[in-house]
Amino acid sequence: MNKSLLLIDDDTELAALLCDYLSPQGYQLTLAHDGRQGLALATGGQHFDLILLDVMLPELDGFEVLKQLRQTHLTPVLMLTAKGDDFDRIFGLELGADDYLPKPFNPRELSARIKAIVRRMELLSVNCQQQQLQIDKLRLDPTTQKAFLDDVELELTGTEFGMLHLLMVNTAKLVTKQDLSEKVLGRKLSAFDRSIDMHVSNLRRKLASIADEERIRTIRGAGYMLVEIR
Amino acid sequence: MKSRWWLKLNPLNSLFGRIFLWFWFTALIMIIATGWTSRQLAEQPRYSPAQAEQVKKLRHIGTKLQELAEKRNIDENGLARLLRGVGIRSRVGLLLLNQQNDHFIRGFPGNERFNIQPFLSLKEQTGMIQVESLFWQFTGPLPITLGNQQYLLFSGRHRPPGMLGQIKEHPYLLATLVLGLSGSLCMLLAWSFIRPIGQLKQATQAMAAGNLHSRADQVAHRHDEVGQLGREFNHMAEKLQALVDSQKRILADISHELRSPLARLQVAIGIAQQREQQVIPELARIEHEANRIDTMLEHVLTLAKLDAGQQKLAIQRVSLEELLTPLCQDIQFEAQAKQRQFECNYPKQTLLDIDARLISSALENVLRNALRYSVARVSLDCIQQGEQLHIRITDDGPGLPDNELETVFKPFYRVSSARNRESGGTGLGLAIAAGALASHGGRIWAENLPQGGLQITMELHVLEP
Repeated sequence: MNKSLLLIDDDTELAALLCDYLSPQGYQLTLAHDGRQGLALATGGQHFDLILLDVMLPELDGFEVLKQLRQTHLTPVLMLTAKGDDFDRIFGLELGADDYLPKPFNPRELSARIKAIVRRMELLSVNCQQQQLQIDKLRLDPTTQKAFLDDVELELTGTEFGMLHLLMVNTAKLVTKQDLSEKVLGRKLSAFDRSIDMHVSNLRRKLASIADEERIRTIRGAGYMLVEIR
Repeated sequence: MKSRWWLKLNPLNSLFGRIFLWFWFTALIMIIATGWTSRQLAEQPRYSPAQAEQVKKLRHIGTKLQELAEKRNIDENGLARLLRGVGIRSRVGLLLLNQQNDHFIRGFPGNERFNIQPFLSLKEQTGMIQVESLFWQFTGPLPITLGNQQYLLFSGRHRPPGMLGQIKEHPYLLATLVLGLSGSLCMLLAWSFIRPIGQLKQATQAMAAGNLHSRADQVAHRHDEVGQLGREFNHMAEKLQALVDSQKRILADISHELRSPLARLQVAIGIAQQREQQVIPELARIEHEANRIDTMLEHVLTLAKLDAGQQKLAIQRVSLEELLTPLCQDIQFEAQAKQRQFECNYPKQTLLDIDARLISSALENVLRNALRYSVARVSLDCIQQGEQLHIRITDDGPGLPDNELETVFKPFYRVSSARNRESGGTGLGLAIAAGALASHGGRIWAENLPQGGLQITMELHVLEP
């Protein structure tokens, strides 16, 4: 089954090339060349499995698009950040991007990232155990991809949902950052990559907005652990 | 505007005027002061008619003296004592001049060098007058007879010796005063010249030390020649900074602009590879070179950010174990592949507040570099000196010529270009390492070891346990 991607990038030549590159791999690309148009497409009726979002865009920049998109949509977003701009990717993750890839990139790396995110969505919705997970007041339903705390629905991105799922499956056990990276982001964690920390911190913030209890503990230098609140 | 020469004389706006007027003024002051002082110190007494009150008082004292002297029938010594006694009671100083032998009897204490000359010239004086000099004022003479001797009596008072009097009495005071006054004036003049020059010197030194933001602002607001020099200096510094900045920026800008075509190139290579079923070695080579340009651009951009101080540091607390263990594992792996021995010793618990990614890549660059030039072994060890941690990376390679120990940290510096190209470096690794250390307030330096090989030391602040 073809996956539909939305590519928002002002470099039209690059966009056309990416179209040529990704189409044979079973992706159907929709192109947008500025932020406003991209945001309109992303929030329109059409379903996208993944949005590839460039940071530097005319009209609305990538961060602004992401910020506005996240108010209503949880569509997975892969940010294409400028190489050498370390701060961009942290900012992108903070705003709720699922992953990032510094540009210029090796196209194989790009298709691996796309595959990882798209496959994770499939696995979670189709292949996963159908049964619900419940740890104290925290409830997670893999079939509908919804999580509830105190019966209030949590607005989680795909990545955050994946992280929470992995942590809940391993309740009261240490989940290393490497595990989180490989199983949720689908890539090996490079040294001092703060992506996982950013995602966990977003997750914590969302949990805390409903009930301020420390569910996810940091195990210094190792990883994270979800604990049951009595 | 046509300059008017007299404007140069304004001491506020011109050094020329200041120096000229100052010397002129000083010379004038000195001439006037010398003239005035010498006139004041000259010993010409002044004569004036006696005041009736003083005359009356003198007559009264004379009568009293005669009475007392007759009663006691005294000699000259006794007379002096008598004179002092009467003088004290009447609150005047008394002076007797013997008319026969010009002998003086003084009834008041005072300087041994008391000048009697003015009194001698009054011997023939009939009627009383007042005579005064710098230190005293006397009324007389009053002829009296005491013990068969004819005397002339003067009564008067010592003037308190004022400043000038003291000067006369103590000539060294005059010297000190003159020296002190002229010295401090000249000191003030010299200081007013030297101070702005010193400020200018500081600004110049700071610039020479590499601080391109250095400006001579303390000097530039002045209106004189030094102020002009200061403004010229600021102008020059401005130009210099702009030049250096633009030179730095151009590299970053080019790299920035190259990213878009490179991204397209990489995707195009990807498409070509995807279409071809078998592996084409040339295509693989093109891809390899594209990746290399990619790495180089990343390095240039990182370096440009570090240089401009724009790199935002993501400071986190890490232990040496967290920092070095994964790194040493990677290097160990590479060392084995190259058949080099790699040793790694560090205290695991030491904590650092650093941007771990940046420092880790700096360490990696230095380690790779050491591995590249090593013959048999590379080592990493740590020494803690108070709050400073020294991470030392040592190889057993050929080392560096002494004059290149510093330049090796400059961008695109290469000791031996042939060797470096073969090993695939970008020539930016050590420059990035130096920039990363500098952004953390640390240092990096290289030294040749006596037994051969190069040692690079990286200094970082540690947290006290």
